[in-house]
Amino acid sequence: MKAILFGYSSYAKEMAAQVKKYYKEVFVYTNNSKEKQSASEDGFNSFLFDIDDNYDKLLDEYKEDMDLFCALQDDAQNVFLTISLREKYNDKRLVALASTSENADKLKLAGANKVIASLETTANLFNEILSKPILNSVFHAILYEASPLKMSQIKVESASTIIGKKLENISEHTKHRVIILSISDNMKSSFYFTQIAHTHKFKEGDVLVVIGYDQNIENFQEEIRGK
Amino acid sequence: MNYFAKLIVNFAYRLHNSVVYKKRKRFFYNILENNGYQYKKYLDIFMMIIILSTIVILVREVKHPIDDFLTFYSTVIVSFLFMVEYLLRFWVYSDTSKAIIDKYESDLFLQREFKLSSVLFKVTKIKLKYVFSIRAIIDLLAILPFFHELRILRIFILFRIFKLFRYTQSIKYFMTILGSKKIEFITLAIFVSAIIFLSGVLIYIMEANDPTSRINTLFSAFYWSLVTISTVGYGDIVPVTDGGQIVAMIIIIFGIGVISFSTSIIVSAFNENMKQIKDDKLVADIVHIKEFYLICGYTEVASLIAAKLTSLVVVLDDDPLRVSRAQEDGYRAICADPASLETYKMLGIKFAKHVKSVLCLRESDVLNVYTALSIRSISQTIPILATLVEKHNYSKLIFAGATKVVYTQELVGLMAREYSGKPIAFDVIDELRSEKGDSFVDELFLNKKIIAKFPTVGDLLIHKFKLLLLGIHRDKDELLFNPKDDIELQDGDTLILIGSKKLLSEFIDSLSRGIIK
Repeated sequence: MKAILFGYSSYAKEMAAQVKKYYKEVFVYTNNSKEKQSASEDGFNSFLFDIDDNYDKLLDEYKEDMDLFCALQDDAQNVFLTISLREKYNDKRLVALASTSENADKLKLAGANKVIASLETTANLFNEILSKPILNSVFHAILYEASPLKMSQIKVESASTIIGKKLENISEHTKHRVIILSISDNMKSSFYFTQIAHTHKFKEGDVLVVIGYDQNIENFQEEIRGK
Repeated sequence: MNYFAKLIVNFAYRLHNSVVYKKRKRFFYNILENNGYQYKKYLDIFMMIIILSTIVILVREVKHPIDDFLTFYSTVIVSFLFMVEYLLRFWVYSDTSKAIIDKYESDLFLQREFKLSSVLFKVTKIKLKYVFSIRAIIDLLAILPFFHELRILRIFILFRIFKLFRYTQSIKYFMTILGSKKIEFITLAIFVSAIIFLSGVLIYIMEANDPTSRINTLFSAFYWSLVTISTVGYGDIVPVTDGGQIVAMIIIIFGIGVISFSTSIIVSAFNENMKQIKDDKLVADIVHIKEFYLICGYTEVASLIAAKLTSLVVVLDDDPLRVSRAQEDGYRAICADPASLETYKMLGIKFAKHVKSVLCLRESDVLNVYTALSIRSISQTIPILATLVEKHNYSKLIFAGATKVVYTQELVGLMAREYSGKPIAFDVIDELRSEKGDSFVDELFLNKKIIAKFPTVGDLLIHKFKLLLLGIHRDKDELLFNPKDDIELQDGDTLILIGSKKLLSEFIDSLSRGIIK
């Protein structure tokens, strides 16, 4: 899997540095030669592009296997880029960066799967640090740090032992001290929290979001996998 | 140095080093003069009640005989209280012992002879400055009814009304506004006095010898002149001669000018000073706020953070445009440099007592470092949160005393990473933290009272409320993840719960009532 990152501002730079963990390669496209040079210096394959380019040709070589990240500095350009990419690649995962929540809404309308509004994100973080400091440190550790506690998503396979069972009737998660936070259908972005999904019957393709210690999650996954 | 001078200097040192003396003097200064002192308002209210009661007695006395006690109260008790107040204000007005010590030490250092007379002269000059101030004169006149045997002095009870100015902030502001146009008012007063004098004399010359005219004394001439120029025009006395009526016409024209001029002075005084007065009031009010977040720099992110905070917010920024934007957004915003120690001195902010946290959200790391350092020099313990613009400045902000530094770019990167690897899991957590959906996550602090009723996790019956207990935060960094039912709860534990808002609040309500059904 490849990541195609548009832009190389300070935000995009951090995105590139962080997402490279999950991708075989990260390709940086920028409309600014300084940014291109900076990306090259950081070890990424970088290219110059024009916002009006024909994206078919531009991304032709990756289109079977790529995630898109729109992180241009200018929100208007980012919206234009998102629309252009979504028009050509409607099945690709597209993450976009916005400054304000107003622009985040526009990017969502433009077709982004996920929008990160930088100012809103900072404000939320400050608010959480001030009003729920414990929660903030716990979640920060689970999500971003090398904490023994992990969050994971587990796909229910066709042979899984829990298929056809209700959440209230399974005990594997209790046995392995794992908390099932939510259940999602077939990798869709819609999900429901388990405290209101006790009667949900598991089926193939469901995705469970779980929290627990690394080994416990592995054991739980192993037990429900089936043969 | 003679024996008497030595005695005075020793006594000054004794007073200066006496903790009790200083404490008492500071107390009386605060209660009499310091508007930021929390108990001053009670004294102000008490004094206002006393003043109004003496005015009521004076008015009642005009047509009705009053009780002897009320006369005693009005003339003796109240005057005595005012005298005590006057003497206390005289005392706290300046620090005499410090003045003596300063002079003595400077003379000693410069190897000059210490002259008691020169320092006493200086001290007396300072005290006389107080004695001859308008406020002190009014205070003194308000005491005079004490000498009630001199009946005429009882009229000085009316001066007690002026004493109200001392205790009523809005009257003070009004007088300050008018005071800013002192020169204009003096010019107007001179002009009006000259016109009244001239027209009074002229009308007297024209009318005094006419037997049908009622303007036959200089007093009635000046009275008529003042009534006419003010455009009141009672009509009780009017000029009857041709010459007198010509004078009247001229004065009427001048009268219109005088009224317009005085109105314009007052209006312009309000226009020019109202903002300053408002700002001053804002500054004065800040010390009365019990708890607030202090935001240094009203940048775009600051406005978003302020909107999310549930406690009161005070904004400090040296950019007037941003300050007015913060004021428009409904916050107490002051145009002052957040990095200047003078600002905090002026505001009288006690960090330990009033400020929950400081948020350094200025547009550059240089300014945030400077601000954090200034605040840290005042308070060692106050939590300081700051935004970071350039990653390499992180250690500088920490070194300057910031408790937590937020580098948004890194956070955005981490979010992108998590979304790439676990998009659904990330969305789940994002939804919980955003508090926008029905389900959300919250902290619940357990105190002794709750633990006495519910000693173990199992006793909480969390499952009955369809809540998820993610863990128990204990001590500083210990997290008991997914605790078993037999885990004993401890005072100070914090539960991390996930569930619907409604059921969470029902659970919290049940815990506080001590009954879970």
